[in-house]
Amino acid sequence: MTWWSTVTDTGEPHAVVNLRLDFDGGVTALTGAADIGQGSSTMVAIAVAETLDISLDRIRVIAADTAITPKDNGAYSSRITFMVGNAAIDAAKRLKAVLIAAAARKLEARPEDVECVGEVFRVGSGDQSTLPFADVVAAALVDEGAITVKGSFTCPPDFHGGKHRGGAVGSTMGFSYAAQVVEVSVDDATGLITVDKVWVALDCGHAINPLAVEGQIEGSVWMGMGQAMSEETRYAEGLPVHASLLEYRMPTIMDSPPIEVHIVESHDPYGPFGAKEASEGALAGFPPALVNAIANAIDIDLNELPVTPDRVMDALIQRRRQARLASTLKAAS
Amino acid sequence: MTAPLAEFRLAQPDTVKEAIAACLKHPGSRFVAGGTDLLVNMRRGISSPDLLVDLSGIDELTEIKTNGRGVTIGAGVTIAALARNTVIATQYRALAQAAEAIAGPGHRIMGTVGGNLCLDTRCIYYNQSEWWRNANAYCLKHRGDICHVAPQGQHCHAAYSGDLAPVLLVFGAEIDIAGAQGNRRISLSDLYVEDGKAHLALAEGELIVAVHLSSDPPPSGYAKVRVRAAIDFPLAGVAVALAASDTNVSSLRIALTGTNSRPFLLAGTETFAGRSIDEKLLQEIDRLVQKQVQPMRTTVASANYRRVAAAALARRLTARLFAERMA
Repeated sequence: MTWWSTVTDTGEPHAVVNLRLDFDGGVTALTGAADIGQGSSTMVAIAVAETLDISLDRIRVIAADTAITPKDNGAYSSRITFMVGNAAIDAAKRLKAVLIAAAARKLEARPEDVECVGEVFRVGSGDQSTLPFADVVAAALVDEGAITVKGSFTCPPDFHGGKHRGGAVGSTMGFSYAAQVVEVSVDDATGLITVDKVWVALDCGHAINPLAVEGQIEGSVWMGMGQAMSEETRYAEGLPVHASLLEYRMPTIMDSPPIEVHIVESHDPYGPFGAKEASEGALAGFPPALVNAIANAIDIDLNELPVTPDRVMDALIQRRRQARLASTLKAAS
Repeated sequence: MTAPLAEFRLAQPDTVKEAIAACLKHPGSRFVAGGTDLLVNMRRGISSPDLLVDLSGIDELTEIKTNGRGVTIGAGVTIAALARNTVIATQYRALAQAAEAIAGPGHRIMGTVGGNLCLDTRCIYYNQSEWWRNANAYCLKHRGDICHVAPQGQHCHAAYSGDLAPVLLVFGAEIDIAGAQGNRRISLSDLYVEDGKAHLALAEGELIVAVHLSSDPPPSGYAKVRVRAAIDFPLAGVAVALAASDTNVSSLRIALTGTNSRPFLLAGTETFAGRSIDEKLLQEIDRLVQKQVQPMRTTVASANYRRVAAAALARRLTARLFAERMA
């Protein structure tokens, strides 16, 4: 997108997406953004389909194949929907311009008079002056075959990180806001904590794909549970004792509480379709909400994560000792 | 840091007799059933038999038989099949509870009763990759000279963490062991030895073929503590069987796992017969457990935690069984 200066601190755009249109009317989106389960490939497909106003099933996304996809900076800073989404929209706008130009030639009209609605290109409202998508594709490809266009996104300078080390990575421009409530039961005989329910509200800007947003929030809660309750790295004689996924304990589905998700939509002026992000926002709230819930249950503030059952028991035992000591001192005085 | 699985041959006998013969013919071979414990250890280079004798094709091991004298559970019965058996679920409730709580669904489908009883002992210095153990000069249990848990001693403290054994112990189970000389029947408690390096009293070529439970068991329960609600091995597990008349104990049996190198019956509970179940009795149970368990630094959780949690579970299960009886 180029409504601001494209001068960057990195000497390259923050995201690039290529689109290829071929005779079958299918659009292949090429992105370096790796879909690690967060749904970024679906997001790219939706952004392209929405911008071109064509059916989602025309889009095929090829992600993170370094032989053919443009370089992407990676999944960090909750940036992919924001940056890659904007690059996908930019690429789709360029492809749309190619299609409109082809439709205009075919309809013998000026491009600015041609509009495209739901795979029909038309001038005005007359039936005589409409063209189906397939005919426009054929017209666009008639001379040179498959077309490839490029789109990019560069954060405006105000949003660059400045000159400090690491500042040029281009952090995302729009972080979500999230609130979280955790309800727990604490077993004071074994130190076991059961998370009974979690409520999360997330302001992700516009929810491009609400189902994926919900999934991302649930995933964030699980990731937060892992950080807060079971995942840790300790060493014995200089060697990591949590060296496999049996000891590096990620929560299982048996540990998962009911998670009530509330998507609070807003509109980010720079985000793709007004979206911000739906990745890490709902993660950060879990650990503090958990320890606050535990404090509410047993009146002990735990300051060390993860809150494993042995740590809870240690805290409970220490409190009992202190209580005994206090009553002994009181009796003695 | 997981090495490729070393090459091995697989024998697939149809009968127990053939299995024993195959094992004895190849010293160093191992029996395998579900493989959920052995294969993980083989991947880590802890065990490297060049022949595995697969017991999963032996039909005679996969039955659960009920008659007037009780129940006989074949050693090849899977954990999942055990958990869903209606006789087990209704009469031997603790056994179904323990089976349902073992590892994850995939493990329960593959894993067997015999395999769970023969589960290898575990330790944070032992259940690691070859590279890891090599970097730490190995340990007393495998290839090394030092027990990193208790470096002054010459004893391996790796902990047994099977879930079925403590339940079977409170039911007074007996097991049939098949070997070259035929079958022998022993009390399950005689299978286990308090030695992390050699915790099973089985000779070369011997295998457990069946578990016998007598009829009319007392009400029972099983509970364990672990960090996650699935997958994890127990840090401490407790089985309780309580027979009571009115408000008094007729017989109380408590067995533990996860705390020692063997599962064991808590000693001294026979003195509770005739006693009423009150807070004083529960405190005595707590003290007995804390005195008899010997958790060592074999898990990331502290030894003291496992001691305290085991006692809490024993107290709670006893109180719960009594309350259910009165309800």
